[in-house]
Amino acid sequence: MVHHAGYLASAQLFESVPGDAARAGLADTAVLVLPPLGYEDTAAHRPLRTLARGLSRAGHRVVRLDWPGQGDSAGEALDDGLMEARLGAVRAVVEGLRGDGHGRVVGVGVRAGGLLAAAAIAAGTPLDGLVLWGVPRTGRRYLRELTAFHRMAARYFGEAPPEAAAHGLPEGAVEAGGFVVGPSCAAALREVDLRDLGRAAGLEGLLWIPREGAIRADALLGSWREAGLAVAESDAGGVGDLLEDAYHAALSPQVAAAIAGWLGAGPRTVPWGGPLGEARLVLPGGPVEEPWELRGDDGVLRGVICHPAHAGGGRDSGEWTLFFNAGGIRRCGPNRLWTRAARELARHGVSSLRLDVRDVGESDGAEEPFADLEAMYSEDSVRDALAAYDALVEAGARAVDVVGLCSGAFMGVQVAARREVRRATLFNGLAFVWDDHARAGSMTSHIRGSLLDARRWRRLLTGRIDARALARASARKVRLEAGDRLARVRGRAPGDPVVRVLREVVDRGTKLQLVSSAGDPSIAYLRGHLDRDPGGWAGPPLKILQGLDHTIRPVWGHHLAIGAILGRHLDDLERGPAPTPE
Amino acid sequence: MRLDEIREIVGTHGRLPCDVGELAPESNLYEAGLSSLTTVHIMLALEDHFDVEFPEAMLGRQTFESLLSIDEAVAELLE
Repeated sequence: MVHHAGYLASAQLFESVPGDAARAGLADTAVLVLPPLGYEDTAAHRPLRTLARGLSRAGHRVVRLDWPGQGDSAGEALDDGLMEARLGAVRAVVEGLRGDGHGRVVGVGVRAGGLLAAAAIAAGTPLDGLVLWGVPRTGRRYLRELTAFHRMAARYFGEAPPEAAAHGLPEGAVEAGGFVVGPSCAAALREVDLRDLGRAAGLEGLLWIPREGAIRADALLGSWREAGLAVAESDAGGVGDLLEDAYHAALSPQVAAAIAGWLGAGPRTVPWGGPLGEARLVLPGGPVEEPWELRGDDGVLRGVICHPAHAGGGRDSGEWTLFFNAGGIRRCGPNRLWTRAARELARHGVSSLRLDVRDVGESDGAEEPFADLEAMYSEDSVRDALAAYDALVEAGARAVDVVGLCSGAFMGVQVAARREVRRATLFNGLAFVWDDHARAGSMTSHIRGSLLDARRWRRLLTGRIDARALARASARKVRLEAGDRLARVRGRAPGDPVVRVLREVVDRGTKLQLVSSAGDPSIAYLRGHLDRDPGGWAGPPLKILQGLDHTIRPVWGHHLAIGAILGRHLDDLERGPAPTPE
Repeated sequence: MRLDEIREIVGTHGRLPCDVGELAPESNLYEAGLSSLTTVHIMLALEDHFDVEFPEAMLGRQTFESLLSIDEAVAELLE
C-alpha cells in the first residue's frame, strides 16, 4: 500500500495505490471518495481511509478528497464561491485521473458528498459511475437534518453569554455540530435533487446504499432506470456506525464488500505514473502548507506543516506550535480549530505542525474502532508526540508551544514534562496523568454517563468495553481513595501525581494556560487534584469559557479558542523572536 | 396502532440500550439513552413512514422526548 498526500485545485488529496503499482499497474477503474461535510466528516474520516485502502488492495487507484473549506484544504466555510471551489476540485481530480489513462472514473459519495457529486455531474464533470451511500434524496432534506441535529445537541452547550450575539452567523447559514454551511453553499445545496442524475450525460451506473431502515426509494430508483441508468441496490446500511464519534466510527464490512463488488477490479492495465497532487498548498495571505511524515518502527506518523509566507526565503523566527489530536479527531482539530489557528499563527510568523498520532487521522495504526479510552492516553501516543517534537527541534525549531484538547491536553502536559516547551495551551483536559486513578475514573465514568450516552452501554454490552476490567478499575479506585483518606488522617498525605506533573511543567519554565468550558468535568478534575494535594499550590491559571461544550462546538465561540492560542503568541511576538540557544 | 408503529421506528433507529417494547409511552427517551444523532434518524424515519414533514418549530427535543410526545406530534401533522 502506498499513501500519498498532496493538493489539487485548493483541495487536499489522499491517494492510495497498491504497493506493487509500479510493477503491476492499476485497474482501469479509478475511484474518487467524496466524504461527508462537517461533523459527519470528523467521524467518517478514518473509516473512509480504511475503505480506500481496501479498494486499492484490490488494484484500484483511490483518491480521497478533503472538500475546500474543510479539513486541510484551503478556504473557509463562509467563503463566497465555496460551492464552485468544491465542484472545481471534483472536476480537477476526475480530469487528472482520466489524463493518467483511467478509462473509468467512479465516485463514492457519502452523505452530503453524494449531493456534491450530483451537483458536480450536473455541472459537467464526467463521472462514469456513482456510489450513493446514506445520501439524502435532496439537499433541502439534508439541511433540515443539520438544523434538527443542531437543535437537539444545543442542550449540551450551556447558556451563551451576551457577547455571543456579536458573533452570529449571516442569514442563510446553517450551523450544526461545530460546523457551518455558509449561505451560498446552503443555497446551492438546497437546489440539489438526486432525481436529476437521470439526466446526467455520461453517467452509466449507480449503486444505492441507503441508511439503515430508510424507506425504499422505489420512485427515485425507477426514474433512474427509466432514464437508462444501470442501478444496483444494497441494504448494507452502515451509516450509523460510520457516524459514531471520531474514536468509535467504523466501516461496515458489508458496505465495503458491496462497493468493491459493484466496482469490480478487472485487469490492471493502467501504468502508475505518480500521484496527482502538488506538494504544497499556498494559502491566501502567504502561508504555505505541506504534508509531513515521520517514519518509525511502528509505522508512519503523518501531519501537516504550516509555514509563514517567508519560510525558506526570509527570516525564520524558529517558533513552532505543535497541535495534538483531540481524542480520535484528526489533525484539523475539533471543528477544524487547529487548521484555522495554524494559519493565523503562520500569518504572524509562527510555523506549526498539526500531528496525527498513531491510529488517528492519516497516521498508520489500527483501522478498527477502539475498545476504551486507554489507547488515547497510552505511552505510545506520548512517544509519538515526543517524536514529532524532536523532529521539529532537529529541523531547527528553537521555541516550541503545544496545543491540545481533552486527550491532546494530556499529551501536551506529558511532552512539556519531558521536553522544553515554551507555552502549553490546553483545553478541557480530563486527565493529565494516566494512572490507576485516571483509569478507574474514566472507566467508571462509563457508568456515570450511561443515562446520557447509549453508545457507552452498547460498547459495554457488546464487549467493546471490558466489563471485568471495569469492575477491577472500580474496586481499585475505591482502594486508592481509601488509602488517600487514611494517609491524610495520619498526616502523611502523598503528593498528588497530577499536581506534581503540573508543577513540574511550570517549574521547567513552561507558561501553562489551562482553558475549560464552563461546566466541563475538566474543572472539577483540576480542582479535585489541587484540593487533594497537601502542598497548598493554587495551580496554573485556568480560563473559563462560558456557553461552550467540551469540544467547543458553538460556532460563535470559536474565536475564543483561537484567541487563546493566538493571543499569547501575539503578545510574545511583540517582544521579538525567540533567542537562538547557545 | 400508531403508537406501536412509532415504537417500532424508535426501536429500529434509536440505538437504545434497553428494550423499547418495555418503555411506557411517557418514559423519557433521552434518559433511556437517545442521542442527538439518533433523534435525527428517528425523525427521518417517521417522515418516511407517515409521509409527513416536521416543521422547524417541531425540531426540538420536546417533540422526541417520549413515545407519547412523538405520537402527539405525528397526530398533529396528519390532521
